[in-house]
Amino acid sequence: MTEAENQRISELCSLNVKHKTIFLLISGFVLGTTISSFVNFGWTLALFFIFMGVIFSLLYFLNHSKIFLIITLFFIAVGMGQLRYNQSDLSGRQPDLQNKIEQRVALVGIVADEPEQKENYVRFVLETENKSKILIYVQSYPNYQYGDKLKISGILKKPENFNNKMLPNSSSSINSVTFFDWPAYLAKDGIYYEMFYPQTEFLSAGNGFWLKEKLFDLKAEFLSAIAKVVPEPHSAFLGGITVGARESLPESLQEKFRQTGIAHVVALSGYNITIVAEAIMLFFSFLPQYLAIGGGVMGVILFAIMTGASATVLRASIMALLALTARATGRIYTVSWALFLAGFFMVLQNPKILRFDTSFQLSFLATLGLIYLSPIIKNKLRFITNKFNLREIFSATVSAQIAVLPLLVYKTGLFSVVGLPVNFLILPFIPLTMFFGFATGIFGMFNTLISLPFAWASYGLLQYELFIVGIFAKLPFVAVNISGFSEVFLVLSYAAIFWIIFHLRKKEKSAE
Amino acid sequence: MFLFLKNFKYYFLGTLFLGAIFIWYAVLAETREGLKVAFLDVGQGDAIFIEAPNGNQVLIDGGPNKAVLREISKQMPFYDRSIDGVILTHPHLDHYAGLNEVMKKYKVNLGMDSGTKNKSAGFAEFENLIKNKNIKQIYAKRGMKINLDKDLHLDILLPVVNNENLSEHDGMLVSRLVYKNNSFLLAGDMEDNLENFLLVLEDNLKSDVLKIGHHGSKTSTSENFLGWVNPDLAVISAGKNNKYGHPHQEVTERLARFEIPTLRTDEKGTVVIKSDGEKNIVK
Repeated sequence: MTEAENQRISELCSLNVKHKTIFLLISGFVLGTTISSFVNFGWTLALFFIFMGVIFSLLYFLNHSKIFLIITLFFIAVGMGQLRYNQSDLSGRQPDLQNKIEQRVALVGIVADEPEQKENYVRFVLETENKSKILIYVQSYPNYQYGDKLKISGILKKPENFNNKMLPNSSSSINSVTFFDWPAYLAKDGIYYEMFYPQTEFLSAGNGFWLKEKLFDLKAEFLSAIAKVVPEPHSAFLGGITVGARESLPESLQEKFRQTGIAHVVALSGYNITIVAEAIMLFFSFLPQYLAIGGGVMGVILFAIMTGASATVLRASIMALLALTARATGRIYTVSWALFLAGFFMVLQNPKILRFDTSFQLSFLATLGLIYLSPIIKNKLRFITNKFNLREIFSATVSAQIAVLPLLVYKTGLFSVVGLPVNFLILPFIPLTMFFGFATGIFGMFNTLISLPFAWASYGLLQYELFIVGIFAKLPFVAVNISGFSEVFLVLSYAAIFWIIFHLRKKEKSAE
Repeated sequence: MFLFLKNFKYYFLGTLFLGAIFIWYAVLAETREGLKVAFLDVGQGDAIFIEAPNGNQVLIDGGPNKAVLREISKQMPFYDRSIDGVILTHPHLDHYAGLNEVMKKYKVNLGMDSGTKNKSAGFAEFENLIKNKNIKQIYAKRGMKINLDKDLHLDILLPVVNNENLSEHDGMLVSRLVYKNNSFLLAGDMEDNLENFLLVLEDNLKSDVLKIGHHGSKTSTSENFLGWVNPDLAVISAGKNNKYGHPHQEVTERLARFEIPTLRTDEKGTVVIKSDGEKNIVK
């Protein structure tokens, strides 16, 4: 028996009571938060579940049947999940601001994150002295930065949904009529207020976390080094795929990216982070393996902070690291456990992401796809040459796409017919583009002249990628509107995918 | 490394091939015939890119945001990262914001404005950029003539004085680009009071192309002014569905009544006019 087989058997045996208990508790907790995100009865329902749990525990003490213990644990976990959701829902709604809505207020606060530069306005989150978060819209000038302390005066608003709100520069080009719950989207980050074009007064700089400030400065220098040698819109695109820069890509181009199903490339998804992590590990590969992996982890963490350290990017980074480990070790069981645990802790930290954070859902599903689907698909694709890692790239692309497709169609009402071919034509060139992009930015910070050859190389690749997006976006049936894709279809399609994976894996195992 | 040496001739050939493509690209890009004037599609704002036959480049106004960057990169080869001069007609956001972006990302040698000032943060950045990037600064004044090439010059018609206390629109920089027998009158955001003032100062305002003042607002392009300029072609630089309703119906009707063909950036996108000094061709 080889060592690998040994390991496998020991892995299978480890599906023991302990794991089952943890699984039970986690699924109960997650179910609890899910119930609360749909119907929130406050504390009462949570306490009811916990009460039921206590009753079943009494039954268990009377009659030592295992089923009572299971029900006890499950009910208590559901109740805990609901309690956690309620608690997170209440914090962040400061009563002192709550009754000042639609009134003019003057506040002092700190810019809590990197401002988002839109084409004709800037948007940032201001955290006030008593920890309320307000989303502020201001003109492009003056330039505010993370950590700036500002005094603002304007009308406090409650976030409203898009259809009854005029956003400055809101694009009318989005033709799919889907309901997007803007207040809930903001609430998941603890933002319950908005303010449009207040009077602002700069008080002081440097009130943020010092490391974050330093890394943001570094990122700004990196981006300006790129912008000096690569023309627009290529440089905005390059900033997006390298450090997920929020600098505005033109809305028309973003629409083309969405139509051709390639928008994830500029959104700094788990995919880009996987490439960065792989590159860092390759760089450290002369060290012992655990040190190389440690270097990769450290690098990914610093990289994630630099790109904005948004919770979204951190989550994507963690999942990217898990997907990498799965690929490197082939230990599907352990890694999927780690993924579920990671997912659980993310939900525990912020219970609202489960229902309201599309990027969390997409990252989680894509990672599941990479772990479970990708090895199966890779085996079916023996006919594709593995030169330039083509088979790996293709199977990863296809599996991630399949895993997120139903959710994407459900969320956007848009099905990109050309998504697969466009991804396959573009993704193989993304690592090289990222490499030249990083080289351009890093050398450019020291000397513009040295960065020129890298800039021209990345320009060539970017030109190709934009050209592909351009010609496919021109096709008459590039994307189909599927507005009738309801929750039922969503559940059914995931059930179908799970069923197929289950059977294929069973078949593969019996073939061995 | 061994693999690299083994495949060396392929890499060598590939590099030569890419080099050849690059050289042909550059040859095509550097072959210019005559003057190019491009009214860039930057949304609600003005941005006019001028390229002389000898390669001199001038950008008059930059529009309201960084959209100008992707528009000038369509007019210039990708390796060209310098612009000889930027000119600001007046310190309003829809004219200077894009110039700020250009000065951050391109090497600029000369900056020119009318000397009119205001207290906006964005204009302060414009002045800071000129100072910090060591850009030579000139205040434009009536009578100045900027030679861009043999037979090609930009004549400054307004302002008569550099006065920082003038209102932005009254301290407007108005210029006329003259290439042999062709001329372009670039009115900025000039309003009718200033138009009348210019008619008093200037005997001959007849121009082939008129950049309509203030994005086609009804406070500009009076009948009197239009009659004296008598252009063969008018260009309106305005954004699609802009909140001001530019260009106003009064102006488009006036142009129709005068039978002056009009091109609008909100309809046509960027408007490129090429001139050999005798004839203008719209691309």
